[in-house]
Amino acid sequence: MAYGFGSLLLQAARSRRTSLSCSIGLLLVVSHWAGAAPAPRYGGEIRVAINSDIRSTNPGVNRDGNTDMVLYHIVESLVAYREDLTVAPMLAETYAVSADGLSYTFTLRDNLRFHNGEPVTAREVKWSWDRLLDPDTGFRCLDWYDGSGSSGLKILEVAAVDAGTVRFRLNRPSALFLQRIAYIQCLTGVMHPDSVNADGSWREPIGTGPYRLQSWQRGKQIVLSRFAGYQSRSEARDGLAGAKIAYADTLRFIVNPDRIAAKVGLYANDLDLVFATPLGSYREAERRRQRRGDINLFHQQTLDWTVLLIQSADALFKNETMRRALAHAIIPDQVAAFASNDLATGNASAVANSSPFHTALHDTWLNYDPERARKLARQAGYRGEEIVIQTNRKFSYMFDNAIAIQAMLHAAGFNVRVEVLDWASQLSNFFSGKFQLSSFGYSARSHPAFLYGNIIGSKNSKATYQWESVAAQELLRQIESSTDAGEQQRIFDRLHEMAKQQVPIIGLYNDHIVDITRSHVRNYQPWVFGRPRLWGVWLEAGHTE
Amino acid sequence: MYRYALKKILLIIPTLLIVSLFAFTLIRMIPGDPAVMFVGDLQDAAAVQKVRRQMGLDQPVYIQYYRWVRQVAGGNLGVSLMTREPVFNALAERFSVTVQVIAPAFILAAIIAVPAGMIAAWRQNSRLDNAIVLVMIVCLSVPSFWLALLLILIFGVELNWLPSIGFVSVTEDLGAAIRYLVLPVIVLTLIEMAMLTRVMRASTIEVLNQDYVTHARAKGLSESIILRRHVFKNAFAPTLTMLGLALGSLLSGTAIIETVFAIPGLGLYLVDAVYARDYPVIQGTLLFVVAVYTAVNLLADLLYPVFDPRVKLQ
Repeated sequence: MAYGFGSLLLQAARSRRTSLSCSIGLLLVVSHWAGAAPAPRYGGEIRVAINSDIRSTNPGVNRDGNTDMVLYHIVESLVAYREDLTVAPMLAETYAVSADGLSYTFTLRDNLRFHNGEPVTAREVKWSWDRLLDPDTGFRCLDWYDGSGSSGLKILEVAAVDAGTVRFRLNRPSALFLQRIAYIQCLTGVMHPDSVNADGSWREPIGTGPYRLQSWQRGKQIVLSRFAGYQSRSEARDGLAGAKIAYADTLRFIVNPDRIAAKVGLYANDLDLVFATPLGSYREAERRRQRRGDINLFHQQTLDWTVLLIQSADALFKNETMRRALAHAIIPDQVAAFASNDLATGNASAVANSSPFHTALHDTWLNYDPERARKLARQAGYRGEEIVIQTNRKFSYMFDNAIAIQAMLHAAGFNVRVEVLDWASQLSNFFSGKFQLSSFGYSARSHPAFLYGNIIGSKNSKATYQWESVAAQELLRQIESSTDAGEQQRIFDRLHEMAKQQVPIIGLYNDHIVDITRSHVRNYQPWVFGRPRLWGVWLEAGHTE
Repeated sequence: MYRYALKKILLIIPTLLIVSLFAFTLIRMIPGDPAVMFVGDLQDAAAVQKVRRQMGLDQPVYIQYYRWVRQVAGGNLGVSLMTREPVFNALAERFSVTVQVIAPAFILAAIIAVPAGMIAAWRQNSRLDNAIVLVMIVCLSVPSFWLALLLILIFGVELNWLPSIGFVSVTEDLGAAIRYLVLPVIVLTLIEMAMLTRVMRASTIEVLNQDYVTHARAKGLSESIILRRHVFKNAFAPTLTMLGLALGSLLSGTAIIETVFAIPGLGLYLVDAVYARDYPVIQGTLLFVVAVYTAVNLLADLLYPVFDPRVKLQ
């Protein structure tokens, strides 16, 4: 049954595109979309500041956000995310899901080539996946596919049916299988076997993307050059899917640890793009744009979710009433406005504002009522003990959130101290559960199920779980086996209703980013994952580097 | 002198052993787990445990230390936990970058500071002295990152004379390298120059008050000869020690300048490693910096008697 199991989900999710398009439209009103350039132009070099060097060139193995971003220009998966967070075929022309949901068959596009000129066949797809599934490879998301993860999902076999067809056999149906293949933090890029040495050790990525790795000078820069043999899809550019036309000859990712220095470098025309600049720099950059017109400014809501973690194992906060008291004392909208210079709006739900599953229900939360907060705290036995919020200065929004929350909690009669740690210490505390409250952030999760998967579970198995409710764990399991997006919607709605009751975590807002380009950079468009895509982007004629 | 030098060189070994122990234990006393940083935003506790095992962090600390010291004794500083890159190779690469920034800054600072300090002392309490002291106080007081950003704004953004960020090695393109180095070298020069000038001024004042200088003046020697022959040598000796210390601190202390100008040098490498809790990199870099620091100061010690013959190396 072609498009059987998965297509139901896709169609349902697409039906929500209208509302999503409206949100994106609103964003573009706020930002300054400079994409109406009429004539694309080939050539030149796009220089992008990245705040830290990439970890490796080995996709999905040794990675961080910058590594993923550079590598998704080089490698591609069978499927990829659209702008609206649905999954589209990428290297696959089509895919079909068996009626029982246990078999996924991908038909590859014709005439695909690797960067070394070799044709892409089912053999290389099978090789790439067998390598990822080999524990010796060190694929970071192996437990998603080997049966050891919470979903229990296991790929039993990847088979090359013929030169252009690959079949995946699963141990159980999974509504999230395609989402997982497309997941950016766990890149499942299809690569040529020459990407590794004879002994299986990593060499370099020989992928199928619109750019190929030219050089990597550690600590300094990564240079990608256009892949002349790239076969672009015919659809319009859409997320990581659709057409990928490499207009620039080269992409130069320059390591520049300080975002402010990078912004100044952009003003000096030594860079073409600085992404995720501190939100505090938005107004200054906007003034420059108006005054000089030499830059373009983009403002985008992302899937990153900033939260206040509550340690439910803590003597004070194991009491649900106390957690509810906190929630009544905090206004997510105001924390968002304070920390983002009025760019962000609150979102207490784990379902991101830009997710097709975010409905009006997810905009509801416990109302701000400091008197009720006081009353509930008294009921819970709170007698003015000191409450500590952990935060850090590496991610300034987490610090700002903590300050705003401290002020709000003080106003409601709580005795709160902010403890500033370095990020490594705070993250270690998160992993070991050593905190009372923690101003924290979850990086972009493309599907709410993945975010809930990080939150819901027993602390006995992982201290990082924040919500131990057995009912919530059961709902999470149901998402995996759901048959349509409507069923998933009902589960997410139910989870949010339960979260309002139990307050396992206080969601604040989906983070915003501000990207700045030189004005000669055309057709640049940020998106909800918060990191740039540089295909389809060109440099205006006549500019000087 | 040779025996003195040999003794000092041999003393480097226990020094490095002590440093290795401190570097190893102190970084582990700071909260934070490299495995957690490695797994990062996937926030997978099971993966963290697996990575800890792969990194050998599940072993007792004394075993980790023993393994590391044995490795270092064999000339291997280990591999980065984050990038799997050999630490020695990375250090060599980063050191060559840092040297290109600090060497010209150090030489320029010395060339300016020594005469400036002497002149200020010679004209003590004059307007010239006050002006020199004022400039040096300003240079010492201004935060280096602020000065760096200011210079970038003026020469990079407004005048567009020089590149604002980045680095080109002198071995790649000398002309481009010089253009990229101008601003960071100016910032480092101004900061180091200020400190050295103050030391040189203070030691010169001390020497100028010595009886033999009064005697030389009484003999009718010109001020120029007195300064060159009698004052400079004696006043320079303490400054030489300071130069050794300054060079050592520059090696690892340029992280801010390297951050602002996006220079992939040693300081930035160390700071990144501390944030990531990349133990082998931190340990290896500290050991390397201390080794260089010790060598530079040994050289300063050996040169001391050349400028001050009263000092005997025994």
